[in-house]
Amino acid sequence: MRNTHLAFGLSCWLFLLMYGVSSLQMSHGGWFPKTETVTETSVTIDMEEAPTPRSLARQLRQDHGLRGNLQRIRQNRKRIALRIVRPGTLHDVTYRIGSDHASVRTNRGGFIEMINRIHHLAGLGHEYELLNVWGFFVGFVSVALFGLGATGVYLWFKHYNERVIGLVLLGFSLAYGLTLIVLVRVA
Amino acid sequence: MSLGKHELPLNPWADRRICDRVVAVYELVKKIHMYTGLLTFSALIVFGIAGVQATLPAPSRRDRPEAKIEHVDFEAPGNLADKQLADRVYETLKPPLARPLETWALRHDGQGNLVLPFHTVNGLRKVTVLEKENRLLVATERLSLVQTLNHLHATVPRWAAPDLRIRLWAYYMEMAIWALIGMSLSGVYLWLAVRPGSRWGQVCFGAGSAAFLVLYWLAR
Repeated sequence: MRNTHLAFGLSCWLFLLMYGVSSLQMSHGGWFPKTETVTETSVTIDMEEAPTPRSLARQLRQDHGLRGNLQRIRQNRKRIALRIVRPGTLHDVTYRIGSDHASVRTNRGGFIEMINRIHHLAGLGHEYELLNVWGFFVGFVSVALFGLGATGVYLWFKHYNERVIGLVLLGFSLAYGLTLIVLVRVA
Repeated sequence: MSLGKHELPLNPWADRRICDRVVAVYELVKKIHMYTGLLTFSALIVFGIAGVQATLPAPSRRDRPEAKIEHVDFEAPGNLADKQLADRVYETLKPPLARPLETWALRHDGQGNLVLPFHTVNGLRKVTVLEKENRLLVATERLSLVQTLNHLHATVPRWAAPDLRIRLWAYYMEMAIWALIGMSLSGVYLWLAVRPGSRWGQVCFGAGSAAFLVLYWLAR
């Protein structure tokens, strides 16, 4: 049981630390100054046929190395705007139809923006495979939290001289947490 | 509670007093790690549920239950700005767990009626002010328990509604956030202090850390 607790904890410690620090950033935004940088560039576009947002994104990925999920598509007769995003970097692309250039506004997050965006990342249905790998680890770490909780309670219970104070703390946690969940739910 | 003989993190040539101090620090950190885990047990389980819920596919819109519709008598004074009217509606309805709406959250429907979306951890209560009919149309969309827990895991004092239940929960979340940071670091310390040679621990630490760092680097 001790090895299981150790395995869950050590394999997830950096993920859990990241969730803790990013939560702190969301709870106390003023403590963490923003460190993101924004750059604007122009890239060459070579479209032989009428472009669509997807064909434009494909060319940007292949020829200019932009990586990430395709989002926020806006299109009218004159221009296409789209966003290619991964946790650390957002590329906002604007392309005037018929032009041979597209402007790319790149927002590159610093450490704190990066972990904030990773914190909000979940799910396994992303177009960009890397985000699905992150999504898998979100699920793994979540299940590991159950494992850590269960094995942790078992290990505590085996410490006979810690049972009284432990019972008080665990009892408080369950009574406080569950009571508030019920009160909130029936509101 | 004391360390077993085979666990002593002692260096054979170290000074006895230093060794005693090392053992005392270890025992203290272990106690804090254990007590913190027990105290925040409920919160950590809620974090786990939120993570699993976020990983699984979201239910489609048609699987959601129908909104519950009700009408409430309400006479809207003709001399109020939208924000003042929204505050008057909030005072009248006192929607549970909701906070007064900011100006940016106010909307108008196609008929020009003021629409007030009161979001809470239990779901959305959308209020349409039907001024000509002197009443409010209240549409309540209730979330599932798991979705509520997902919202609760993100409820911190900075964003919490004024409701006492929500504020008490938010303080518990704040404590759990600090506990998560503390337990992540103290857990690694406890391993290094007692069993750094454990192959099992080395593999898990190395694999977990490497996975995180590689993913972080690729996602930049």
